[in-house]
Amino acid sequence: MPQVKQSSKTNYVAVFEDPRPAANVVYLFGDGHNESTLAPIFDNHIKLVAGSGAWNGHGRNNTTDSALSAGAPGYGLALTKQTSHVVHTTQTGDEVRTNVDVSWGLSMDPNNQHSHVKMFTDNTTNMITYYPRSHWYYYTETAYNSIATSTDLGTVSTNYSATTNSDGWNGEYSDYYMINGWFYRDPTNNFISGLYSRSGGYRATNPNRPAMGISRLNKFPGYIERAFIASRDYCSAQFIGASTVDSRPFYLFNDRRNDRTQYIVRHNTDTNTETVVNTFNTVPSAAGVSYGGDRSTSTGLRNQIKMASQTFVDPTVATTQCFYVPYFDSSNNYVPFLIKWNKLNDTFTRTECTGITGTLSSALLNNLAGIQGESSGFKSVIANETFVVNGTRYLSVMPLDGGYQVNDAQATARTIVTYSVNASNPALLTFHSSVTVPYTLRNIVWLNDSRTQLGVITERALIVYSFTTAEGWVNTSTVPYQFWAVGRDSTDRIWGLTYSATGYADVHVITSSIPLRITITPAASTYNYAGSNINSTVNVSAYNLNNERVAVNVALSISGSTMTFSAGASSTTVTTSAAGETSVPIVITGAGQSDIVANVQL
Amino acid sequence: MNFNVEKTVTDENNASITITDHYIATLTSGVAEVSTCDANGENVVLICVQPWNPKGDGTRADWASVEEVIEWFKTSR
Repeated sequence: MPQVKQSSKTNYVAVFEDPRPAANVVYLFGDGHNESTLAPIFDNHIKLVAGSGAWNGHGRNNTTDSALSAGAPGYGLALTKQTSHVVHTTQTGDEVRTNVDVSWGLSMDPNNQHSHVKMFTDNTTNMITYYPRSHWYYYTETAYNSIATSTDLGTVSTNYSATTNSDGWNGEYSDYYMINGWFYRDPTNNFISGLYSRSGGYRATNPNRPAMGISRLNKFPGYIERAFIASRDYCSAQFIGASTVDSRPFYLFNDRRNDRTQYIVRHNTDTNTETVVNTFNTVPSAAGVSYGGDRSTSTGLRNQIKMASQTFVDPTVATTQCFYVPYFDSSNNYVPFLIKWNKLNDTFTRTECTGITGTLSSALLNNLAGIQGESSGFKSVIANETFVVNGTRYLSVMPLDGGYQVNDAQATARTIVTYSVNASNPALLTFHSSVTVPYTLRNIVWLNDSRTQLGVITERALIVYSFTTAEGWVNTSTVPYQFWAVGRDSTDRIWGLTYSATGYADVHVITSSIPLRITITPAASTYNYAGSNINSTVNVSAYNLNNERVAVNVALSISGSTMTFSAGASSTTVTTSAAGETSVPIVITGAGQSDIVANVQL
Repeated sequence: MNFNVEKTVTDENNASITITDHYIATLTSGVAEVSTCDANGENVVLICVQPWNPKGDGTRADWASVEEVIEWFKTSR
């Protein structure tokens, strides 16, 4: 895997992408580079600080067991597409470092995804916001107000910065308000809407309780202050999308204490008030395959954050949007809710997908470690996501856990289960496939917009899966590094931060044209040298992240004295093929062992 | 009508404490409004405008009283 850069300084965001499409600049440890070529830009350094202060990192790149590290959301990678971070702690219990970064799911709108650095525009004026936050109370936030398209970020200061010092002691107890994301500019009145987590007491624990609420950024294109609406205790939240009736944004709040309580909330951005559009908290009755009821949260699946899927258009009503919310019945079977959003009048309805054909989930997905307490409300997460392959919609449910190796010994706690969705009725599901990930799923990251390529971040490797209609999720490659962050930039290039013995993250980049695996296969497994040279061949191939062959120049060198390439050479360069194996002549010149070492120069 | 929402949390010293958030609810012409305020009922900031009671089964109903508004609001905070 191509390593782009070793850490050159500490306490800096390792990769920061200028979100303006025309900018074509990415900052590596604060230093400007051409985003297309990664060539350094002379004397160009991003200044993520308001006013005339010194250059400020607004990030972390240490790979130490710390809540404030390269694995803290947005601290390591600030890219314009989905990014996932992992603090590779050795903690397993009720500890903030075990919380899963659910950035990949904070927006359910496939056309407006969450990102830590984001550009808002009215097509005349731009504004850039950047916020990283830890699972502790640490966060920073900064913004470029009214930033012209042509203005070099390396030449200007930000116009606003908020840090943990912005809140703090409120006279009775410590109270911190940490942004979870800015999602949407309401074009009617130019306010920007987002989500936050409130500490409301002990700064370490309560943001993860969780206690999320709606926030407003005052005001595009000039960030002056943040305003907050009272949070909901024990609720996680996701941005659903914006109304086509009055342009106001909607949020889903989901109570972690049971699977059945969801609130659909509208943000009235003009007045910074909220209106609960619909509440769903009735206990499901037994119906179809579902036993209904409230499952136990002390055994089996235990207590979980539930993340809803992306929205999609109802196959039968073009003006209705749908999404799935995880619900497990009293027998621990996945019987998701299908929530429909009538875009004509902004009302929501909920049905339970009780018509499931084939294998139910409990035999495959069960025995989860679960949330351990108030500090670790995001430690255990059930994600469900939907995607389309070859015209068929699928729905996968997967268990994530930020605890160290907590599910390594339990296969059912590492299994992704997938259902196909009926073409005309999205509430009807049929079991399709399952796959067991070899290690605890510390986090996931979607590696393409269509969500058919999935990266699973484990303690030992980034394990990449592609979805096939024949087999479901198929492991196409395994990148044997400990990743602290993985994400995509605007060009769909994949960036990764990996553990380094230096204590600071290395930066890697992956594209589909870059090989991750080289194979060298001799024509025979053994050769019997009897005093005469033996002419033979080795086949050479290079494979990318998708396990597809790629054409690339591979430098081969022989280590040992019993083998040569043609004409007695000990090294050669071969261009691999995207179509098949590339044969390279070799000559066995003696008895004993020789090795061929491959090297790819990118 | 003033009311409080209390919750038990852990403080910096790992001790259990109760924090109290102060609110004011009104019901005017069928529309409920909830505001935050300080302990003295001052520094009032409107945070919720609720023209209907969002029932747990997904339906909507008219508010019966401001007491019902307060009971509803407390269930989710």
